[in-house]
Amino acid sequence: MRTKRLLVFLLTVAVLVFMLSACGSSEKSGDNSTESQPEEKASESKSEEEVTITYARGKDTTPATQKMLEAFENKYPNIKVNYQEMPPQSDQQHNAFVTALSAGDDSVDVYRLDIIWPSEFASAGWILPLDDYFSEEEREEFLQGPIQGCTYNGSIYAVPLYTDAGVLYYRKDLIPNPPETWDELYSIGKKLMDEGKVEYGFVFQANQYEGLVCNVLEYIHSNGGKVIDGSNVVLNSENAIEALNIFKKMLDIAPEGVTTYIENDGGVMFQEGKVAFMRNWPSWWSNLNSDESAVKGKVGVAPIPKGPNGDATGKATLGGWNLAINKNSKNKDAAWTFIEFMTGEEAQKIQAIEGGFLPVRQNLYKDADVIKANPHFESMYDALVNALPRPVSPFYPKISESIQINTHKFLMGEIDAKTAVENMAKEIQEILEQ
Amino acid sequence: MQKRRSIKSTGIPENVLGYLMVTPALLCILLIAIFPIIRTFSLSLTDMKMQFPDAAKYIGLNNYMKLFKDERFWNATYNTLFFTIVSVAMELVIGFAMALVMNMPFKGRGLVRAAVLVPWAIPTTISATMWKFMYHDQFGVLNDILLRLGLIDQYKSWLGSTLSALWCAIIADVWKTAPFMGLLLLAGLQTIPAELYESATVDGAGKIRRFFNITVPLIMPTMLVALIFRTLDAFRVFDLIFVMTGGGPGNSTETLSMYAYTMLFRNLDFGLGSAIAVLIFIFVFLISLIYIYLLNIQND
Repeated sequence: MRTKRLLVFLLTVAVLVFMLSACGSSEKSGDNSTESQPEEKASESKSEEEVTITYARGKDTTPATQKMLEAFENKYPNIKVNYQEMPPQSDQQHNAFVTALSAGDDSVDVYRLDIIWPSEFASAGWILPLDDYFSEEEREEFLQGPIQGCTYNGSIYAVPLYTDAGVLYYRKDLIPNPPETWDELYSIGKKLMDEGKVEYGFVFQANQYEGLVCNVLEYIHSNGGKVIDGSNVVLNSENAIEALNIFKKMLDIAPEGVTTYIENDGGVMFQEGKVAFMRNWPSWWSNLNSDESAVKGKVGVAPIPKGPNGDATGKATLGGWNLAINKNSKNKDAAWTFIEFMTGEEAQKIQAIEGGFLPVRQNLYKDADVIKANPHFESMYDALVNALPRPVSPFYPKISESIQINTHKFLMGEIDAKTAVENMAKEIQEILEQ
Repeated sequence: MQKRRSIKSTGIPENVLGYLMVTPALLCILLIAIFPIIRTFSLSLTDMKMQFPDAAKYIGLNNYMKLFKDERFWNATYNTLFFTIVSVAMELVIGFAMALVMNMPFKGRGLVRAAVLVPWAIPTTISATMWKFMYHDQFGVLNDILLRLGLIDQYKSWLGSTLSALWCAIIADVWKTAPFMGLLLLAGLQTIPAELYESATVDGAGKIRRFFNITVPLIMPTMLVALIFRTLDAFRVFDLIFVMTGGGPGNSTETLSMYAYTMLFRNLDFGLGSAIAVLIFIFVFLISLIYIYLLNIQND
């Protein structure tokens, strides 16, 4: 009898513990009803008074952010910046920001947002529209892709801080001229594999995650395909189907595990000299040319190749980070002064030279100091100018998920290209209509 | 005597006072356990999306209807059940074997008992990262060993195949939790009096007979408790698969917890996400009921 009672007690405890942990997640939703406050006019800032603003961004492993902040405080001694470091993974930053902002938090004034977040945050009413601060003429001095990614419903919600776009790394000691089309890339890679010069022809990111979306969109965009036009889904086209088939063909010259690879897996293999081509982000340049790299000085960088039905150039997928102001911030004007400085020429130069980040202002790609520190920037400019953002929608995470799952099923051979494209088009249409 | 008088002097009947005294605890439970459950349930009846929090409205059981027609939900349910049943069964067998060995007197037994707990002590995220690396097609130790043994002729992508990915996760889970099962069962084994075995031996029962007629029935209650712990745990599996495959390849390893997480926190669809959470709750409740029923049969 006693054991029985004990067991029943244990079971009750187990069930309770479970309930708590299973529902702990949704517990947060309790205080999520954001009160949409009437938009305040930015309060007049008195330039003599000292204010402190808080800036939240993911950890910067380079000295760039620190140096930019120092330069800012030198120039604006009356504005102190409280720099709040966030975890490195973008998903974790997203979770932290969403939790804080949905509860109406005002402790952070300036947020650094991934290019795929502004529309989501804007539609939820968490960030301030910047049309009054950031004029259209000023926007023209920036790269247009990132500006597009920060625009939602005709208003601009964030200012690009640095950009990123997929590029093609190649072994310039083995390949004199980088390929312009996917077909050329395939045949060069295959030839080098057959000759035994490399183990694999091509590495890219085909794990089921956000990076897969960046990769597959490059094939679709570079072959005249498109996901969304205005509010219409235009994905279902012969060009998109063909693009998917080209993508799948690349699995022949890639390691078998490429469907589990993220940036780092292929990057390390390329660094070891095992691969002829790699699709990756510009930030890999410094790793590939470091002293530990087996391919130091043998790496070339080129724009993403194009498909048979594409424009004159391939279309890279745009990444990059942007600065936005918390709608509940008490120091909106100081926050804007900060953003204006961080995205201005002086800070952008520090960022590029100290951290190797790609500037968002077009003229800096011709700046002697920037190019001297980053000679590869010049050849990346074309890729950046032609780069396209991922679909801009407050429901982007769901769109991304549909693309990830269907593309991955297609690469695994579970469905054919036509079905994959049809599924994606149908699901994305439903997501946009909800 | 003194005390009793003071209660009387307040004029509150003893049973009412009793209720008054448990009220704070009850309020606590209400706040941290019951409220979230009710809140989750009420959210699951709306189309609440964080992107447009003000546009949320009551939509009845639509989220549930949507899920019942959702192939992805059934796929996640199947994966979760498959993972739970296979991994718990394997853990039970291996854990039982470990317990039997650890229950035998031998030199260094204390050390072995401590050592088996090492996998259990490693945080799941870390062991998942470790296993992910071991399964890696290029740098993984598994491919290296198998290739040297001549069992495969080229590197295989274990986590990249829909046939093997879920099994890889199950193996990592069994590695981690079988020792826990083993220790729980060992505790059960040690409560069985040695006299029972002695008298059975005197009566002429062989080893196998003693195992099935003494060990198994007497360890049954402990085993059921161990099983319920592990089943509920396995049913909620999240971190292991999240780290190892992220639900891939082709969504072939997505579990219910992962689906709920993705809907709630990545997609910010609180209506549908809450509906999944409620269904997980119901599943778990049913599993618990079955175990409680089995336990009652055991005890009668």
